[in-house]
Amino acid sequence: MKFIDHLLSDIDELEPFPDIAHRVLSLSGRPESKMSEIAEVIKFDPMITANIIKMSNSAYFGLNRKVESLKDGVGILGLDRIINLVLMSCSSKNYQGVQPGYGLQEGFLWKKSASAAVIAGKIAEEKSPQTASRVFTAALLRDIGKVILGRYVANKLSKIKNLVEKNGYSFDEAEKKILGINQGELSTLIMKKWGFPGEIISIVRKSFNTGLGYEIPIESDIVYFSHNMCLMLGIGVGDDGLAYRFDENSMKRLGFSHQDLQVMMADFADSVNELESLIKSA
Amino acid sequence: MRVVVGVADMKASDKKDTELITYSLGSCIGIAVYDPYAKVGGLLHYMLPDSELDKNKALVKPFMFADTGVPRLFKETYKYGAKKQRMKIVLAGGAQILDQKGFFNIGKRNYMAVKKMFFRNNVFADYEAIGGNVNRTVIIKIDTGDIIIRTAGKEEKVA
Repeated sequence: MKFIDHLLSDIDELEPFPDIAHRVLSLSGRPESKMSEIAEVIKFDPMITANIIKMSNSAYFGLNRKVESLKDGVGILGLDRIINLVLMSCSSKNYQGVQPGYGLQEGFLWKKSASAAVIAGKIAEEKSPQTASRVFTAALLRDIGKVILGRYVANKLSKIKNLVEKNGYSFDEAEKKILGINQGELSTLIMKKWGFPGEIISIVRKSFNTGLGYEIPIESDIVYFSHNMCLMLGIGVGDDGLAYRFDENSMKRLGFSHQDLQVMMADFADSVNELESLIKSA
Repeated sequence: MRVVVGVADMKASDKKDTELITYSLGSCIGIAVYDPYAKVGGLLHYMLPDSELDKNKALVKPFMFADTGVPRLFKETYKYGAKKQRMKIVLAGGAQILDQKGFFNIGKRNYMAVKKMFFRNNVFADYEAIGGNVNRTVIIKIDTGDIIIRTAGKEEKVA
């Protein structure tokens, strides 16, 4: 069995992304989508319904009244936010657990993925509102490849780190050199196997291509930026550290100055406790 | 008892059973101070160099910034009887993503901010683990005064 076949069979061990998430996602970005439609889709899944109500009541949203039903939640938080909560609720299980190859303790990768998604979602609301939910989804699933690849990185960690420390490779460049595949490529393979739309897979793929001379859509720049911000803040950073490439041009394309970067970091820190309550309840 | 110092946070203690810990510094800086005579320790985790960025935020969250957080760290330990002259001081963090240069290099700017303040106040760090691309965790054990830095799963007592 080839290495890639091992990886592909490992994907089957992940909790499959439920159909409900795809149906909900298909409602995003469509002006004709109605609040009632999403409630109709979700209400037949009691687990997700309960989760959405719990997450809506988390300190993150700071609502002054209690959300008691799905209809309530949709009415108060709006379509896009509810879509994002459904996606978070469907993703959390796969991110739980320890990722030994990356030295990530229980829940660390989930915290990073959820934080990056929230950061990306907020930026997209301003920079690319039509595709905000797709950006949120792409940021949420960008690291899913680590869940599988971590098992193999563990056995080759010293070789990978050697390339990073002595030869100037980034961690994902070293993964590619040693394992023949990197975390980003595996993330897109997983998303393809789960049936995600090509445009979201493309956002993820291109978010790993910044700085390589390719044309990068704004959605990928946002996803890339949100993950970099998590690295700077030390969220979900393991043995791979901050050994990834920073592309200043990506910041410029987004119109962000170093001052903007600091403001966003400060704003994120302001709501970090509330965000944690949301992440834990997903 | 383990007391976690979060992002933009500071804790000081003289309780012997206490261990102060701050996780995952990234480009943020952790400053650990300990007075072995008074057996008092303090730990600060700040994330940005200068409170000029947002004065209002600095009033509510002074530990977010170097210029408002560092003086408070020292003052808080003085309340427990610590003295600056006796303190051992460790700096950690200030890491950067590869190719993160100039103004975008928040880790380096965070480090420069504390170094300037220390220079002006004649304070010297006993140990520094700064920069690079690694993530660091800092621990102070109040009972023994041990200051430990954890990087990529490996722990080292540095002071």
